[in-house]
Amino acid sequence: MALLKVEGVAKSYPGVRALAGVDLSVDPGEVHALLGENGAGKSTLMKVIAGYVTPDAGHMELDGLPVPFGSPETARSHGIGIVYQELSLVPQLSIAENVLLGTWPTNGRLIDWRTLHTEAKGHLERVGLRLDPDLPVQGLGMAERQLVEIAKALSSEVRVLLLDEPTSALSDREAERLFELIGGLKNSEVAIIYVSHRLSEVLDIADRITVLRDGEKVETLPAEGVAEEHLAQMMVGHELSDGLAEHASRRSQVGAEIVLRARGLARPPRLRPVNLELREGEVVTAFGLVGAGRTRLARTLFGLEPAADGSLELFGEERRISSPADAIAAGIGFVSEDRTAGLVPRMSVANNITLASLEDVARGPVLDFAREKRVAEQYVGDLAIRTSSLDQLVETLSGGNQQKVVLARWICSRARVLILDDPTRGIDVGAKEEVFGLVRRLADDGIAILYMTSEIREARELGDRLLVMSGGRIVKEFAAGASEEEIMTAAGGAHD
Amino acid sequence: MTKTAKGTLARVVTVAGGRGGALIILFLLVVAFAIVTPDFLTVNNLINILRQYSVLMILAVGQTLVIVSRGIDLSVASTAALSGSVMGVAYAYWAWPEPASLLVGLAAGVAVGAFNGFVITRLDVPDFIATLGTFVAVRGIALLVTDGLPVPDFERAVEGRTLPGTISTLGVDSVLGAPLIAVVALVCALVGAFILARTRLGRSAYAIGGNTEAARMSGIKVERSKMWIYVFSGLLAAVGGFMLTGRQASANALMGEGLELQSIAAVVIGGTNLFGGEGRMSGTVIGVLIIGVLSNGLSIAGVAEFWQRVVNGLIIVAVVALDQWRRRAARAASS
Repeated sequence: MALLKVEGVAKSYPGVRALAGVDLSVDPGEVHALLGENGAGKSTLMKVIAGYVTPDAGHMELDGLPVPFGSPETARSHGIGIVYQELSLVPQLSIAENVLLGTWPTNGRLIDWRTLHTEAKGHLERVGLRLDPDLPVQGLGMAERQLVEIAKALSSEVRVLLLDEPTSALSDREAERLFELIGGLKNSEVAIIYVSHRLSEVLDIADRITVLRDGEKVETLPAEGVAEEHLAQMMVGHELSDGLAEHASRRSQVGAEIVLRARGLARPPRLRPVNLELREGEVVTAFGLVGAGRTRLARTLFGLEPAADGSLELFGEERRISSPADAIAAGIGFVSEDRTAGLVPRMSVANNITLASLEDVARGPVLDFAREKRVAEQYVGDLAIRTSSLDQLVETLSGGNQQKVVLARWICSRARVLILDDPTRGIDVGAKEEVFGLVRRLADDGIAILYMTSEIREARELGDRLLVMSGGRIVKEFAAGASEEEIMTAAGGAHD
Repeated sequence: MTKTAKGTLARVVTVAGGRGGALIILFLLVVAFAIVTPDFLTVNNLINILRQYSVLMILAVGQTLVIVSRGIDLSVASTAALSGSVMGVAYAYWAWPEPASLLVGLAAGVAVGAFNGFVITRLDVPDFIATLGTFVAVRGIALLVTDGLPVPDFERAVEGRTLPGTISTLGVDSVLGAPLIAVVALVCALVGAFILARTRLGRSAYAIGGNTEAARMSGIKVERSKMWIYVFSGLLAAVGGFMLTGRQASANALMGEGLELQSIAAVVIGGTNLFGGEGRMSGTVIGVLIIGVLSNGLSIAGVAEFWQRVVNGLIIVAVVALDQWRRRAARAASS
């Protein structure tokens, strides 16, 4: 019998239908994956179940008894716990304080620190995190924080656990650990609803899969024997292009000119001396697990964390890059893994596109709005950015379109070298394909691209050359076509 | 309230939000005072309001740029007092020629702004603390410069010297019926509006206020922009100090106390986000008028001064609470 049952859930916002009568049922001990593109309604459904959003229609049952919507406290008291995509920990507080946030044990009026410590420790052991509970959360890595978050959800009696993109911040190895934990919860009859963009991992751990599209349920099907391509098609509603085939056709177009050459570039201890060459029109992917130094290298090349040692040549000229302004002047553009870091959310699409080339859309200190509009219009069309108008606030765009706005900014500033740090993190399959296509097109236009990623498939699919990073240095270089095993071994990660 | 009625109300507030909301409140205040007392809606009284709140307007213009870029300038009123005092002392006691006296007054304002900018961008002191420091210290300097006495003081003044002619004119003259200081304030507001909306510096201010990291990653020189913004605020404060001096025909080190907070209130009432990234100069102008109309109207209606303070404070909270509600409604509608 189903443990949690949701029927006919509908929710509309002015102008948007987020959910149009969705049913979902989850059995005890089942991992039920929720798939769909951004905007398909996954997050809204999760929030409805957890009590953060009140639906317009529908009802919910737990163990056959109705549970009222609209109150997180009610949901929690019925044993429904949620772990958010955006981590909701207080960095200054200790692990233990975070795990029991809001339910700190007291003796009379004061906090009972000893009980807090031991109780938290118990919950942490359950998720397999062997750290001192008194450490502050701000010193922890993303994976550890994720585990603390889950321990927090498990600290109350949880029967249904909602996980929203739990692996988006994790490396492959850390994700493995999370899956072990999920296996353990299954055995103790907890029902798990799991939202993810990574199809392969969904197929690995889910028992059943429900696909949503445009607020409607497309299908619920058992995970066993389903092909990834089939799921992807259900999500986007049409067939996806074959990335690898397209790729092979353009590999010959790499130019001869070396546009960027780094020698002994270093910023100890996180970035050890790195030698690197990028050619005109070349896509070089840099693969590494979390902590391998990918982001460090990207930030150093872009002047966000200036190099302490080594030299950098761009177009045959030695340059000192000690700030992003220097990097931009030298023709470098940067897309960070965190979209929100690169965009000004409450500025319009047009203003975000021209932000790195204000001198081109101004006469002296005065902005030329007509020229700015023309320029922005061109890139919105060129990159197929889906926006209702140039004046739409960039925060209202989907993740993929936001990332395209950042790319447009660098094309607009005439960057000749693009450094992309995990640009597809947290965006859906369809948008991912689009970003891949865009990266190849930019390379065809002669832009040299350094593409950092923690997903081995992306690294193999996209790169003309593939670099492997580990411990803050480039440990190995592969030509296109290297096998996953070779790459994983070089990265120092266990792979099975 | 029923669900649909609440939705409709939320939509109305959303449409009328920001400047619109402030404009509606301004309109309601004017209508209310016009009904309560016949003395409110007279040409003389309206001119009186313009004259009284021109200084606040000038300070609020600089404050708008600062707040849009996620800063805050607590030192504007102190700077106004210093600039007026230095100008007066230079002219009356040191017998400097008029242009030199005016220039040294403006320079004092620019210097305070530059000092704020330096401390904030180079020494990494938070804007609030840096300008809290100058808020106190600059008054001290003004007291030192004036010996704590009003300027000009007949015992110390060089024979026949009082205040520069320009300053006296600024205080009393009118242009086509409008007080000259109100005209100056309006011109400053227009210049400020132009800088904010149409220049690279203004765009940089929005970007820095909206997401400093993104601004930096787009090559915007964050430190340099903030420096210019604080210097501009200091310069306007100096002009405000001249206007204060002209209006009371005397400068003193303690004049304009409390205007720094009123200027922040005016900016926020005008729909500018106190945490940066959003706001317009037209909103600030409306915000200043709301504060002006409210104080003036309450006085005329015979509300005791002590009660006026209470009402003034509460109106700030009410307007911003309304604005927050509007933002939530807008966010719920778009998510």
